[in-house]
This record gives sequence, C-alpha cells and structure tokens, in this order.
Amino acid sequence: MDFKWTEEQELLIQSLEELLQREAPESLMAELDAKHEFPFKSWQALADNGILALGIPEEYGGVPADITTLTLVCETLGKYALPLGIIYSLGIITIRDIIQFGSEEIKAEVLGGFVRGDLPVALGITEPQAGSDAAAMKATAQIDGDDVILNGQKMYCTLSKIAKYILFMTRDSQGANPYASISMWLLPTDTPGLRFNLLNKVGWWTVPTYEVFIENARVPRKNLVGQYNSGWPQLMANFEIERLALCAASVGAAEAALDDSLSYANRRVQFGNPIGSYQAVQHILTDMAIKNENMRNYIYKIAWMMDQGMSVRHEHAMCKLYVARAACEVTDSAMQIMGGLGYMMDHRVQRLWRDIRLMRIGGGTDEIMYNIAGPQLLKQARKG
Amino acid sequence: MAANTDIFLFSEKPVLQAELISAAHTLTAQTGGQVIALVLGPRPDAELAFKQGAQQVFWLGELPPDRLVDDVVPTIAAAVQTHQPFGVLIGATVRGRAVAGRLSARLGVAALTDVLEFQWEKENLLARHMVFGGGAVRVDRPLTQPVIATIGSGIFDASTSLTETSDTIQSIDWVEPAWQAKLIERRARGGGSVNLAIAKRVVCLGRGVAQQEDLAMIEELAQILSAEVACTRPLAEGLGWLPRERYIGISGAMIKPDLYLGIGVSGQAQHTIGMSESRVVVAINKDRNAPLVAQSDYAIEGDLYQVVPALIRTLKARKGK
Amino acid sequence: MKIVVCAKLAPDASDIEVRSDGTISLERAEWRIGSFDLQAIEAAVRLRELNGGSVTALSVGPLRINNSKLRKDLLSRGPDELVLVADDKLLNADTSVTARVLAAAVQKIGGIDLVLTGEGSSDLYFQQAGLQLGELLEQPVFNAVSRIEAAGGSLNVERSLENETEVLDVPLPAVLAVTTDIHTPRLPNMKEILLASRKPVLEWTLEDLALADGEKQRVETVSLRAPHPVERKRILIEGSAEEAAEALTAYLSKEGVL
Repeated sequence: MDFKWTEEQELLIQSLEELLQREAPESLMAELDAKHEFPFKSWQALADNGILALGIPEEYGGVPADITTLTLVCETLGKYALPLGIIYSLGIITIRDIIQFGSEEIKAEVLGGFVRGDLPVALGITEPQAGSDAAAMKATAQIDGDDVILNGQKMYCTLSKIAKYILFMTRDSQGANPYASISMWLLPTDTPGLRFNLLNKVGWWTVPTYEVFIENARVPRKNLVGQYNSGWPQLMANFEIERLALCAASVGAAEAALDDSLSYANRRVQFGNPIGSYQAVQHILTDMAIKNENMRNYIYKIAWMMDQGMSVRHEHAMCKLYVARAACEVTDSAMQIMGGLGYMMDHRVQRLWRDIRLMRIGGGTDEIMYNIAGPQLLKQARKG
Repeated sequence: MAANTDIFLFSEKPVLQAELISAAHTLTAQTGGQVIALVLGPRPDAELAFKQGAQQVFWLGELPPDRLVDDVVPTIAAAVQTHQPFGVLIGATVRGRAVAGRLSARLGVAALTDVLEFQWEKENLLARHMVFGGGAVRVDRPLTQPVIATIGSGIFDASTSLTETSDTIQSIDWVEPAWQAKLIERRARGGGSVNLAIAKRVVCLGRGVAQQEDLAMIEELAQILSAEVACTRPLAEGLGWLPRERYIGISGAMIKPDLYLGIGVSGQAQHTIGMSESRVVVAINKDRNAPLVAQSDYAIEGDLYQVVPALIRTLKARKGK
Repeated sequence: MKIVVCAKLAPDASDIEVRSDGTISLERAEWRIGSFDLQAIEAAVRLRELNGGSVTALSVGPLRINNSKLRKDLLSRGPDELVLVADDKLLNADTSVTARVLAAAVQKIGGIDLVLTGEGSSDLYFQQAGLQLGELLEQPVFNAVSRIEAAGGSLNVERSLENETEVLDVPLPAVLAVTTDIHTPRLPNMKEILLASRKPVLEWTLEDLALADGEKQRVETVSLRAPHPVERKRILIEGSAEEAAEALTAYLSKEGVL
C-alpha cells in the first residue's frame, strides 16, 4: 500500500501553497472575514493559475484530474485559506452536474466561464419547509412555449446573488413519487423576478448566503439540465464528491488549528514553563493529531475508492459524519489550548471554530448521515 | 613565475577604493609588498588614491562617456599577467562583481566574493564569507594565484592614518576588449546616493509597516535621530517603497552602525545578517516572539503606530531641553 | 531565439541544521530549484513567447540532481527540454568548475543565441557563475539585468546599477545574469506539470563533455560553521507607548547613541 503522492500531485500542491501564500495570505483572509467580503481577487488568482480547470473536461479549457487530486486541492485550500476551500467545495456538485447532464450549450457557457474565474454555480434546493426533507420542496416550473416560468422560495442559497447562475430545483406537485418529480434548471441570477435577502450567519462570513424569492422568472426551456423529473438522481450522483470536498477543506482547517495550537503551546509560558510541557496540554494535542490523521486517512480512502469506480454509498456518509464532528472537536480543542487568545477575534482560531461548525449541518446533517449509513450496514450484514 | 607580494585593488567608487586600500594594507603587512591601486577615471582620481594610502597607482585612463566600466577587464588582466600580484581586491559593486568574475575566468583563478575577513594560515590567505542566506559562515582557501577577492562597502574601514608616500602615477596601456556592447543611455535612479555602510544610526522598516504613506512617520523619526532610513528586502524589491540601496541584508547593504532601530521587522536571517554587528539593536514589534527581538538589546512589544509617535514626541522634547 | 537557461538544483538553505559542535549539516535539506534561477527561467520563457525559438534548461551538479521530481519541476515552468550533467565529481564543485562544465555543455548544445542565469545560487549566492561562463565562452556578458528586449539581431538590455540604469545594446550571442526585478516567476499549473514528464531530458556525463577527469577545483573549503551570535542584552521594555518611549530614550541616551 503506497501512501505517497505522485510527483505531479506534490508539484501541484507546492505550486498551490505558494499561490495561496501570495494571493490569499492569512492577513487577507482575516481582513475579508471581518468585513464580510467575498475573496474575489484570490478566487480569480485560482482561476489564473489553472486550479479551477482541474477536473473540467479539456474541451472547455479544463485539465484532467482524478478525485484524489481534487481532494488534495480542497485540503490545501482548507489549510491555508478556508474560505476558498469552502467556495470551491460548494461548486463541485453543481459544476459536475452540469458536466454530466448539461447540454453542449450549457456546458460551453458555464464551464468555460468557471475555468476563467466565474464563481461556482449556486445550488437552489433548500426551502423554508424543506431542509433534510429536500423532496418536500414546493418550487414550480411551468412550461410556456419555448420558455419555462419558475416560481418559488429558496433558503440558505449560498453565493446565489453574486454568482452567475443558480442550479434551481423544482418539483412537479402532480408526481406521485416526489423523488421522481424533481427537475433541475439553470437559472441566470440576472433574470427578472429574482429577489435576494442576505442572511446573517455565525460563520462563513466571506461567503454570502441568501434567501431567494423567485417570482415568475422566465428562462428558455433549454435551460433544463438533464432530463425532466430526473433532478433528484442527478443531484445524488454528485452529493458524494461534494461531501468529500467539504470534508477535505475541513481537514485542512483542522490541520491549521493544530499547527496554531502546537506553535502556541511551545511559546506560551505559564508558571515558568511552556504550556506544552504540561501533560494535560500534551494529551489534548495528541488527541487532536490523532483525529487529524484519522480524518486525512478517511478522506483519501474514500477518494481512492471513488477513483476506482467503487460504490461509496454509505462509506462516504460515515466519512462525512466522522470528519464533521472530529473537525469541530479539533477546532474547539484549539480554542481551549489557546485560552484567552483563542477567544479573541484577532486570531484565526475563532474563525476556524465558527466556520467548521456548519460542517455538521450543511451538505447533509450528521443525522441524515446516520440515516444513510445505518440501514446500509445492516443490509450488508444480512447478505453475508 | 612566483607571484610577488603586491596587492592590486580596483573600484570605480572612490569611497570604496579607500576601504580597499585599507584592506590591502592589512594584507601587505603580512606579504611585505606594496598596495597598488588601479584607477579608472580622470587624473585627479588617480592622485586621490595616493592620498587614500595607495603606495603605487596604475592609471587606466579616463573612461569615455560612451564606454562601460566593464571594458576595463582585458586591461586589468594584462596588468595582472605582467605584474603578477599576490592578490587583487575589487569593490563589490555590480560592476565590481562583473569585473572580478570575468577576470577570474580569464586568468584561470578563483574569485572569492563578499569577503568579510581575511585570515592567514602560514603563507596561505584564507577568506571568510557568508553562505546559505546568512545561515552559515564559510572559510575558503584559494588554490590559485593571484587571489581575486570582492569586498563590500563598510567591511573595512578606510584608514585616516595612512600617509601619502608617493605621487608617481604610472600609466597602463589600454587593451581594447574583443567585444563591445553599445551604451545607449544612462538613466539616473531615484533615491539619490545613500551610503548605509557609513551611517552611524539607521532606522529600518519591515513588513509590519502597513502602507507606503506610513513612511513619512518613519522618516520623521529618522530625522530626529539623525539616522538613515533603510528597509528589509521585500519593501525595496517587491513593494518598491524604497530604492534598492536602502535595503539591508545578505544581498543588500551590510551595516555596522552604532544604532539600529528595526520597526515592524521580523528579523529573518537574510536581513539580520546585514545588521547583526550593529552596536545597539532596538526592536519595535507587535510580537515579542519575532526573531529580531531575541537578537536585540532593547525591545518594545507594541503597536508601532502608537510607539513611533510616542518616541518622536519624547525625542523632540529631549532635544528641546 | 535559441536560449539556454542555467538553473542550480541545491539544498534549501532554510533547512540547514546546526550540529552541537557548530558545524552545518544539510543532510535533511530538501533540494530545490534556486529561487533566483526561477526568475531567469521566467525571463527565458517570456522571450520565447514574444520572439519564438526554444528554451533549453541546463543544470549541472552531483548525481542527486537527476531526480524525477526535480526534472518535472524544472520542465513544468516552461522550458522545452532539459539538459542535465549529473556526476558526483561535481559535488561541492566551486564556481570555476561549474562555469567550465556549463560552458562545455552550452557549446555541445550548439547554436545558442543567449544564455541566461539568475543573480546567484540560492545556497551560496556568490553571483559569479554567469559572469565566469560568459568570459569562458568569450561572449558579451552582463550582470544585474532587469529588462531584455529583442531588437533585430541584438538585445536591448537594461542593467540596474546602484545609482543608475545602463541601457545597452548587446550583440548576440551573449550571456546575461538577471536580477530579481526582471519578472515574477509564474507558478506551474497542472497542465504544465502533466506536460513536463513528456518533455525531453538529455543526460550528459562529464565524458560526453570531454571533461572525464573532472575539473580541478580552485577553492578549498576550510570550515563551514554557524555564525557566532552577538550577545545581546534582550531587555524587553514594557508599559504604555509613552512609558516605553521614555524608557527607551533613557537607555539609548545612556548607551551614547543619541
């Protein structure tokens, strides 16, 4: 079993690390976070240096990259500039849905723009009454000649207003099976009839999240992505890689939290010694390191399985469940190690702590991950 | 033919020439030879070398305005081949490095660069210089002669005690170089000429200074202290806030002032190697764990935007007394 | 324009370890392309982008430099091909040896219009190799080059001196050592990294260069040690900005530096 990266992956990460130190230093991330500003320039720098081209088909300006490489990129982004890791991860599901199910016209428009630096396509799925129970959505699509008229209200729609497109999910209320009644539309955010209401979150301050009101928004019918009523399986096809990407960014953040904690423990002197010399602190740090190691091994195992074409139906859910909680524990421990300084807005640990907390909720809650994994484990045991 | 015991020296900068003459005397004290200055410039420059303590002057003539200092290489090479000095000291300016490098390749000998100190091991000359970005000190023994060495500004002190012992200038025949680059234009560079190497007090700014506008505050402090303003490399090269000759470090100026005051300077090895021999080092930094603090005599952990104005006020008040 | 750009692969100076006896160890240092050489590579690649032609990267050193990852790293930054002269006789080669091997390699490649080098190597920084190389090739050679433009059969070159910039017309073929001002090196992207492994690498021995006996060193290193730290007082002045300013002024006054 070879745990080494390929030379190409090592060179890519070396280059990406240098890019992030130049274009997304911690001081900038902290400043943007405090101002609640999106990192436009840093995102463009990722585009200019070919990072956004990874995994996009070559005919649209992309460069082939396997899932393991994408995971490595997310981890690196998460470690040096978590906001960028989050934005990149959010885009993976929508971009891949477009690659797999979009028409040529849609692909050329959206993917070409993304590689050049457009923001990721936002995902409009959650509604006030439909979160984990996504199929309870009520947004509608009414065909009108060559157009379709979209109506609805989407909640927690991250990026949307500042992105070019929303991947807008609608449901045909006539359909008997809700999971076979959902359709996926490419909705340009400058379409008349859209209203955005900015939501105020505990974390993810540089990545705006909106409530979106869609009132008789008219788009061409050919903006249908994939097949009518096939929206749910189409989305499901890429939930796994999306969750994996978010996990990877979280792992990167947890590593940053550990680095800060180790550095602090070596320098902070109390009662005449660095606090790292006290066993109580060493125990916390060791537990953090073990969790980081576990998280890292887990995400790359899942990435490897996906690259091999193996099913990760419940495996990925278990991974997401573990990583979300472990990353929260690590950032929380980091704040504890850093004591008063950890609680100050001046230092990045508080930002990591706030940003990571969402991982247990967004992209599928812990409870839903259990719902996916539990029955599958028992089913597998019955077969054997 | 055994090399004789004289030391040649060359620098297109008279100030540096004085320091090289001083350095050459420390060598001839051991070799027993003469200090011979090779001078390129108008006749008064040649006469100056004697006043600075050279015992002989080989005058290379005045360089026409459309020619380059580098064109002097074949002439110096010929002089070396004729005279066979023990060593050739060259001032470590951009042109000096070019002359030294080309000369060493032409003569088939070693060039030792940015020498900080010479040592003698019996009759062998050793040279000490920094390597690994300031992380290590290396002592080298040249195995060929003459020994060509470049010496930077401020390493040796020009001597005030050397008396003029001769005034007979010897002319050297010019050897025309085989190739020529055409000089199209000389453009003055902003910043004027500052010689950090002779500054007694230096105020140095680092990355902790947030923006270029803040330079005014630093300059005010420097003025009250009668200090020169310097900076770390990123501020000169990357940001372009100050001209290159104002940055201190392994590839910039190496200084030995009485007072070095580092403001928002973290203290990377590549920088501190340029000021570590300052008599008194002061650090003002918001982080007491910045490397410079451990390498300072006095440190203030604080916000420079509070401390510097306070210092300006205190020093003004003191001057007023 | 046929360009050769010289790059030194050397241990990363920031990885040096100081042993308890004060001597230096580089055993655990990672080997990298010198940061000043990256600028030369960028300058070469941009000249090719503007004027056509080819860029050959050239690196000489001990066997260790013939490393798959280092080769890909070099080639991912734009050169069309790489020439490597790797021989342990070149371990700790002094500048004059390096220059002689580079000269032989450039002549073997043949037909070269321009050789570029960085300001200095990232480990030793003697700022000599390019100058000595130019002299050995008997070609026009200049250091501190901050701008290069092709101008007919020659180059329009700007050279950054301490107080002025010289603008020169340099006939080809020539050797130029560039400064850090010249260009910010681009960062390799995945496309370039993947292409790198498909670019040609020529591995030459010292025999191939008719330098089978190696070249005689002209410098011998007597010692390599960590620098002596100057003992400092390390007085940390506490208090408000006003109090600290007062205290510092008093100290400096006593030191006699005001």
